[in-house]
Amino acid sequence: MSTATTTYLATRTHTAIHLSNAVAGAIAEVLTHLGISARGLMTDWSTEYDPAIRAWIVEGSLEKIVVECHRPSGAVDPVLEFPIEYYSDGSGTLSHRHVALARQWAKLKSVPNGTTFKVICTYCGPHTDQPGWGPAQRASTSGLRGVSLGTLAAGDHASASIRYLTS
Amino acid sequence: MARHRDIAASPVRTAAETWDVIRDLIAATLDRSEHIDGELVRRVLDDAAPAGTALVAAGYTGGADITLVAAPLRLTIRTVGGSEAFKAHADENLNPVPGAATAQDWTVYLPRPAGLSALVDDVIGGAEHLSSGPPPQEAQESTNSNSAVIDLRSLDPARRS
Repeated sequence: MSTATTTYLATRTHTAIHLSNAVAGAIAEVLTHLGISARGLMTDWSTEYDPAIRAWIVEGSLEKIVVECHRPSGAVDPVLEFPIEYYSDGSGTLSHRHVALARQWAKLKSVPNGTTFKVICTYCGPHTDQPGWGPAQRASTSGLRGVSLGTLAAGDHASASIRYLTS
Repeated sequence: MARHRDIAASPVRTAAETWDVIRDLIAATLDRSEHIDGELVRRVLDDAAPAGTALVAAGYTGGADITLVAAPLRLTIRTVGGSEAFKAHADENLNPVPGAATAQDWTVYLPRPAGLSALVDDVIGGAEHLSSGPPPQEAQESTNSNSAVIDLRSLDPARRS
């Protein structure tokens, strides 16, 4: 019996694609559970969100992707955070825990009609300008309780975890 | 005629790129039929992109089929993610899938996982040629085909009178 193996080189670009995909899927599913349409987000993801997020992960400047849900009352609740951790030695392992985490998201309570969302990125160092992105201010999260749901996805050079903050 | 294709997804392709590859494969396959306009197919699948992209991004298309039924062709498509995506990319066959040359109608069935059901329904609800219901197990011949129906029971000697 003969065997054969093939080795593939996973680059920072692959890691960035993998994490951006995972975050897109997670945001879409969480928003859907909350009762917020993710149609617009997914329509625009490939042109407005994904290129910037991938570029910032490749350069190692993206600290966190934040999704704020703004209720008609003015309250910001819940908030979803995706902190990015970098591995300078490329020691990460490809993984994606979406299906396992989906059981947690199924427990989320819906938000009132008219609730909208904002996607905000924070940085851990100098970052390149990306089309369509400008300065933004995060809403206060005081009064919200955070629950960490662990790693959402990982690549060789970085991972994205997920944290959910709600009242 | 059952066929299957695996399409490489994350981390080889973004979710949107993966959906585009699936769209192009289905459109090129159906364009072989003189009854189906490949450009119309592309437009329909472009309209479904928000749902398709989310399904791919979340990884659901790795465990559930996207199914094209264009009798006599029944094509199932799955995405391959993670480390297996590299090999899937190397082995990928993106040529038009044989079997749809005589097809007269077509429907693409998308997975409808509970977590994205509202998004899938929102995007493809009421759209011609798209469905989130379970696909038929076999591609049915269209009603105006020229194929003959054979009653197999008549070939059973025990049933002949």
